[in-house]
Amino acid sequence: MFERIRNNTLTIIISVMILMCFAGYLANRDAVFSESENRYLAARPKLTPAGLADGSFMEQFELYTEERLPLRDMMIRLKAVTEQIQLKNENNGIARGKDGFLFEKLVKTDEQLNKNKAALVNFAGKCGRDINICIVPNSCEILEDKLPAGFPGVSQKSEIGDLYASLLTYDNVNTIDVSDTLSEHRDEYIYYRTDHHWTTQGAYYGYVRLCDEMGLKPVSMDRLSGKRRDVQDFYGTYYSKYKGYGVGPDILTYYDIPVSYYEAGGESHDGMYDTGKLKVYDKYAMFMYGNEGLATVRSMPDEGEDKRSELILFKDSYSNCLTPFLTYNYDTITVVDLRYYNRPVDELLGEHEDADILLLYNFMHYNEDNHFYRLVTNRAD
Amino acid sequence: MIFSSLLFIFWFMPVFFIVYYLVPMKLKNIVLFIGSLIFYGWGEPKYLILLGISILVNYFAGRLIDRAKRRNSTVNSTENAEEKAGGEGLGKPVLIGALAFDIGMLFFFKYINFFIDNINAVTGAGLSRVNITLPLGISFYTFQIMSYVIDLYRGKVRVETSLIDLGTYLCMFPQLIAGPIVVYSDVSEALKSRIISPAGVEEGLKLFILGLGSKVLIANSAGALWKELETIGYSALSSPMAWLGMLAYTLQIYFDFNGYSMMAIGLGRMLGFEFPKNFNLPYTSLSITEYWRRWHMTLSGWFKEYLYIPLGGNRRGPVRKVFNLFIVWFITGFWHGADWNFILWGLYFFVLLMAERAGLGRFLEGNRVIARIYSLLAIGFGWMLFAISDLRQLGVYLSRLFVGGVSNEILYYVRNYGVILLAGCLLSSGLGNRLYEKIKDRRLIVIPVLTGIFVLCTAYLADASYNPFLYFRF
Repeated sequence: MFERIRNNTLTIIISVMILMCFAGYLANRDAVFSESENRYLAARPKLTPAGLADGSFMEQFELYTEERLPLRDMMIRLKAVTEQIQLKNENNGIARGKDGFLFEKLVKTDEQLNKNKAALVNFAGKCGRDINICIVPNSCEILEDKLPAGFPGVSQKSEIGDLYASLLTYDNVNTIDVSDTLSEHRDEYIYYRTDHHWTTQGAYYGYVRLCDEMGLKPVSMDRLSGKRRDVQDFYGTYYSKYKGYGVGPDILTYYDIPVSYYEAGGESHDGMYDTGKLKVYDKYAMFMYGNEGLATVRSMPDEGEDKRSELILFKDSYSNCLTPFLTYNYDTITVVDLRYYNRPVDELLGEHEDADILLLYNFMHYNEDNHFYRLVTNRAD
Repeated sequence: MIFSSLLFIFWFMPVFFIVYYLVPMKLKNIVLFIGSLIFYGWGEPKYLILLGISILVNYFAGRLIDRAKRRNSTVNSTENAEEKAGGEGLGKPVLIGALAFDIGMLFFFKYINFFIDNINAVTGAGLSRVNITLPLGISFYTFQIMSYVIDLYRGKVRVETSLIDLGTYLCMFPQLIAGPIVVYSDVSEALKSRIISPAGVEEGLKLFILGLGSKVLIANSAGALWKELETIGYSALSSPMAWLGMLAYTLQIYFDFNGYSMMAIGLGRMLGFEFPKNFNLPYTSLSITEYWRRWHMTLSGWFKEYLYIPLGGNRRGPVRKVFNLFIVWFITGFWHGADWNFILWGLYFFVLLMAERAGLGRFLEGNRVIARIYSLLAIGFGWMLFAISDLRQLGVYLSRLFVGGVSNEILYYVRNYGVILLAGCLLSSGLGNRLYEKIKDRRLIVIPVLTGIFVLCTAYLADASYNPFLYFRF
């Protein structure tokens, strides 16, 4: 008996592991929400004749086995650490540079970028009104001295330059380049170490530059400093992917700027900040209550000087921490996130005939998001 | 289904093996048969029909050939030789029919669009392509079933009267999809009775885990580098990057394929079968002649047995021999894929083998260092022919090897892939095998190491599904 166990130790160990894991799967049936991945993980699919026939059962079952492996988070962490032991400084497309900074690697622009460029140019021609366009580079473009040695990647500046060059012929377009401004401040805390967004500080520098270009008077930091709130222990999306050691938490800052009215996705709120989100993993989602198709901000009448009446802001999540500053310059800001906005854009522009127009996106979004076509889809289409 | 998936390891394996080990011997083949059909049909059930038809056609062909042979042997003992030829004549058309069917299926499902494209290109006929995807494993199982009918005709094996047993042979899940190519005579006895010993299961499991580690930890990692170079675009590569890519692909394909073979052989042993070895440290070869005796041995063996020798081998004079080799290498290349670059790849080896026969081989024997460098380079270049289907892109890649210049991105890639590529080099040099020989009887080392590899493979497979949204959706 003893001899048999001795001779089959590996069989016994592996069998026990496989069977325990199998038992764990049997207990994992329903969908659960994964905070670090910010999405629901698959539930076990029901076996139906139709599902078998079209193969969807098999597909979903496979997805379920991948997403619901018992101890999955631990396993993912183990993989990240194993990669680090191999001296790798990249995991899941995120690379660790100096001082604990994480960067997203993009070695080639997506096909989508050309479509997005065409959509923007098309919009510029079709719209007929003055528009301001700003593509914000990501941390890997600006924080050159924090990058890992030999870090490969497309030049975001030259891609942004390409876009701006193709908009040159349109007199109604004002292209705004924030790269230099951000580069000047690159020794400050302008990008998160563990997240793909710029910090509120970085967004402020961007805001000042936008104001210069759009003829607005930026609110000064002195006026804001009393409203500053810092939140510790923020781990962002880059960290979710990277998962390795040697990366500290970020500090998330917001300025408690009061507004008279805020409505996002059809719900009205007391302010622009969803402070409940500060207790969960996804802290950045506190700005503007996350991303909604349509949001409206009305500023306090007594905050800000020489205010203009209205702005329409087409944006991604990068602008969520910048929008609060703009309340010092506009009475009303209509915020549109094309990913979740289904109505024709020309209709919306018609309803706000006198509004200024600003398109504010980060480079990665411009590179890969496939909703820019909505800018030029008309009622008639 | 593939072996290196959580689905296979944590669902298929426990359920299948528990049933397989619990049922009595006479039910084991049917359990294996059904299990294999589920394994195969999981991804694309529609091609189960093809597999079923193939089994039926070859089964009945086998019965007919056998009947013709038996009638022939009874006739032979009583009547004259003229009648004998007639008896064989009955077996031959059936054999030819079966082979035509097998090759026809392979031709249609794997090569039809290649021929349509080329006919269109040459004649401008404008034929439309056929909308089919390549059925999983068809190149492998076609060769396996052909070995059965041919060997039966040659009298090397006995007829299989059980449809289940023949089906089990053809569909057996370990080797169905990617080999090794197990010819019927390798397993005909084990199909009827086999001993499943605890020692065999333990050994099989070890091989399975080593194969899994090869695939998941080394091949996938090296493959990620190769894929990244494809994304960057060959024309943007610096010289060092192009060389690094060639190394990465060379290691990827070996650890992928050999890993798969090891998993198959290991699973076979756990089922009570002995499958033939498929790789024997091919990258240690000192010539291409030697390389092809070590790389994908069951395929070279098949071509020798069922193509080269029937063509007359080396028995019909030197000119015919060269012609036969040309045919073999042309088809070897074409078997690997329906594209010109695969044919080019096969003929590339034909040329090297001819050169080695013509005198290069003798020179290499005397110069081991040159022989090693020559062999590795020849293998590496070969893989580039294999990897890049677009001949223009291939030209770009090869030129980048020499005129790509230098850029500092290589630092990043060496840091990220250096350790795994080095490990791959050492393991494919035979060092790993020598090390394993030394420690394999020391349970206290081997068992924790193998358990660790198993856990790490699970971790890497789990991570492959890990997909945090970079941009918030909520």
